[in-house]
Amino acid sequence: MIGHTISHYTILEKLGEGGMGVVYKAEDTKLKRVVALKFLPHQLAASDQDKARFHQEAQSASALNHPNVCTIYDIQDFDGQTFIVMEFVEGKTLREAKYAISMKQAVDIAAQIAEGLAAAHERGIIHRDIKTDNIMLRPDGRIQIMDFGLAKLQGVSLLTQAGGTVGTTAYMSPEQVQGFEADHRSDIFALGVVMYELLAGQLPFNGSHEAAVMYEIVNIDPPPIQAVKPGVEPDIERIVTKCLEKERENRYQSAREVAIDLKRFKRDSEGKPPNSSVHALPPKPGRRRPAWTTVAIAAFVALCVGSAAFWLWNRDRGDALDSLAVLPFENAGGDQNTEYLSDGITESIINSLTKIPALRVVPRSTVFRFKGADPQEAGLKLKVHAVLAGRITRQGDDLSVQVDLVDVEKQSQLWGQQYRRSGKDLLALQDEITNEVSNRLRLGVSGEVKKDVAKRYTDNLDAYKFYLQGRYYWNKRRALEIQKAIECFNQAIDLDPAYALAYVGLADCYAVLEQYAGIPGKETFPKAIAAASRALEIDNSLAEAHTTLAFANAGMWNWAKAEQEFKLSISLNPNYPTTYHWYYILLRTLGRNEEALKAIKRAQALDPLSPIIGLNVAMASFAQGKYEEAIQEMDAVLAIDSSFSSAYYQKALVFSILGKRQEAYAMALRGVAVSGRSSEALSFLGYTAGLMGKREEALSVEKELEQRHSNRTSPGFYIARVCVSLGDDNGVYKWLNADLDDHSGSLIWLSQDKEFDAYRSDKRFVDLLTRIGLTK
Amino acid sequence: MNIQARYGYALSTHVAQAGSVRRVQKRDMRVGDRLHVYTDNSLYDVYVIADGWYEVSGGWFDTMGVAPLRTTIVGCTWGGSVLMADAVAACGLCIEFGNRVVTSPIRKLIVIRHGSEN
Repeated sequence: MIGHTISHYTILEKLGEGGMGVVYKAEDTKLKRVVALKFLPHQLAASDQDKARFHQEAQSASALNHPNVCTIYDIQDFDGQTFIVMEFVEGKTLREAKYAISMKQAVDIAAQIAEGLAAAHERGIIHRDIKTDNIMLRPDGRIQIMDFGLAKLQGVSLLTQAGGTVGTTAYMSPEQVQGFEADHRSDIFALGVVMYELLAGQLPFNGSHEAAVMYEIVNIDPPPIQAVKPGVEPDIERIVTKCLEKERENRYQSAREVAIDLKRFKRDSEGKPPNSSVHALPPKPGRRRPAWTTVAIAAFVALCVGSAAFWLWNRDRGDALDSLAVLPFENAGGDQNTEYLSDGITESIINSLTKIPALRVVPRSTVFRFKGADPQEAGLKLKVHAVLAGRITRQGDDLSVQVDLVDVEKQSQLWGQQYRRSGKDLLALQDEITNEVSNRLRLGVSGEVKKDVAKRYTDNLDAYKFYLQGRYYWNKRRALEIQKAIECFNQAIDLDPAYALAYVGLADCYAVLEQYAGIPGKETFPKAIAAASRALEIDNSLAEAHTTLAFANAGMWNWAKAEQEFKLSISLNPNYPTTYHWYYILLRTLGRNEEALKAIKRAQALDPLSPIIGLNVAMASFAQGKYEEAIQEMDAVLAIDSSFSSAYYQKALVFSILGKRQEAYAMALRGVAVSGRSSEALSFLGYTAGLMGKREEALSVEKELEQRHSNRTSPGFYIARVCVSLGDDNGVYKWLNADLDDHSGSLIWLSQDKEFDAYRSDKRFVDLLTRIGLTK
Repeated sequence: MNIQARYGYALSTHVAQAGSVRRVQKRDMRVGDRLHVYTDNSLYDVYVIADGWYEVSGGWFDTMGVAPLRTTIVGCTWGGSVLMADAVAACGLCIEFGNRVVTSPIRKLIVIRHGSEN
């Protein structure tokens, strides 16, 4: 096509293409101007519907004309081809142009963006993705705010889209990060980010990975621009700071106000010496913060102090590197079918190195949040001395593995190696890497420990691959995937009946199957116990097996046996966070709240970014009546992972106990939406609806949960929770007794959950607790 | 040259177009009202259950087996990030629900007021 003339347009270059069109840059030889031509692809051109849609697109936009509009000039049919003639937007994106922009230009650009946003906001339109990529800077200095998502949608798919997050993390407002709906003030926050970026030359929130950026957006004030780029006027910084307020109520309330302040700054600063003050601007108000943000800052300060102490201590540590993060190995080929291999090798190396008592290895659940992160930055964030990063490429049966071990403090490479091996040598290769890493860390590992680290649980490569696949699915923590994981572990066991780790995997699946798939505990826990016991028959030193055995015994209400196994596991491996997490559940169930708090805090120290552990820390505060603290801790969890639905509905419970019923109901609704209508979330919705007097809604939820119970996808406990709010005592006991018959693990919550407090003196309730061994 | 960075619509285009778009606004919907939405691909039924809350069936919700789903409506988009926040549904635009499901463009809207059904 390039160089061809169609009608009176000479094609200059191809700009791009998607499913609904190919776009070329062309010259209009009649009017001597550059235009963009969009052609309907040949395969779609035959469809009348697509042609009609193509025409409709052209007609709807051609009625509009405005200096800043991406105008559609014409629609033409020529030689059997239909195409739209559009204005070609000359210029660069602000992202491309930002390094060449002066402060004066930056202020002018920001004022134009604010004007554009103000016009949109005044019509009830918000952008939600303001960033330098979405702003075009024309050669004449004018800007155009773009909506590029449209091009993607029209170019790719006309179907319903599901599950996307609107916005780009670094420019998102705290409310967007936390999963709340954006409003016009979210655009103002993003404008603040753009202004900061233009003035400081860097983003205000620039953590090394997405979760870190999200945490900073919610909790941390960006460094002052003047600290990053001296010479920036304090008054312009004040405008940016006001846009970047964490609470939307504290920001500018309209983009028009931002535009006015920027123009005033521009006018007043012209002709004044640098750094002169603009008196018309209001003085900067005191930075009021909500209590939880204050706590977050205190935590950050503590983190900084801790980091300083860490480095001071670090100077005296000698040569040994006694803490390590194994970052998820990159699946370089990008083949999703081999993702389990890269993830699995990472996890296996972590598990092997965890056996070195003198070495602290960051757990899987934390390091997997650093997938793709820079090793040096990840090491600093995780406060470890060394980081192992790897990259796996699979070509047919061969594997190419690049590994690099980095000394975080010295910012140097300790060791790097490229391996090229046959896939058959996978196990040996993994052993080799593990051994090399333990040597390079200079920990002085004894021969016995080395033997333990090098211990291989199977020599059957296919069994090992099934095991890795099983772990891959298990880590997804969804009903279908757990069922798939069970199949994989069983296949591994078929190939190697003495494969202890495969039995542990199987036990882990059955231990959580009731929670994720709703299958009654009487069917799942005995299988978990059998599999964990079999693993221990083969190798009694497997801490994970003891932990799972303990958890399954707790599910079967064998409290003493559960505690014995937890203690045994801790003695074998004091650094396995799941043991402390699950032990906390047992201790809480037994009413030993002080010990429970210590256990869950220990789990959090070992795995600080785990949302489920963070939530249980909050629930421990809640159990002790520290409601505000619990809410702050739940907010911190949501800042790490805004899609972690349990935090929403557990927060609903805290609100309901505080008598904030409207907030509780709203939070439960959010939990239902985010969880995709899980049974547990529904139970909180029914509960909060009942408390608000929305009886019909509560009854409707109860009915839905009853249906799920009959399909074995919900325990009776969830229905009982709804019955509590409806004052239906018979319903409460009917469903709790149903769980008793099913030996449901959910009953372990009964002894402490506050929504059942009104029943604690009731004889029927006491009898129930007695039957599960929870009365003294 | 990056097509995604150059081919889209200007925000001002949407702003100019907004006044002439046929739409149903959030403030016009009352509890018990029902909205039938015909999109390029499906039919959706939106029932108002409380202020700001809707029970939605049809289309994606039926396909995924979650209908009727109680959710919010964020607003309507042109398919990208730009949102007409006060609209429940608008012709030519896509509905974005609270669970982040976005429909294909709307062709036709029918509002059935509470009490008008037989």
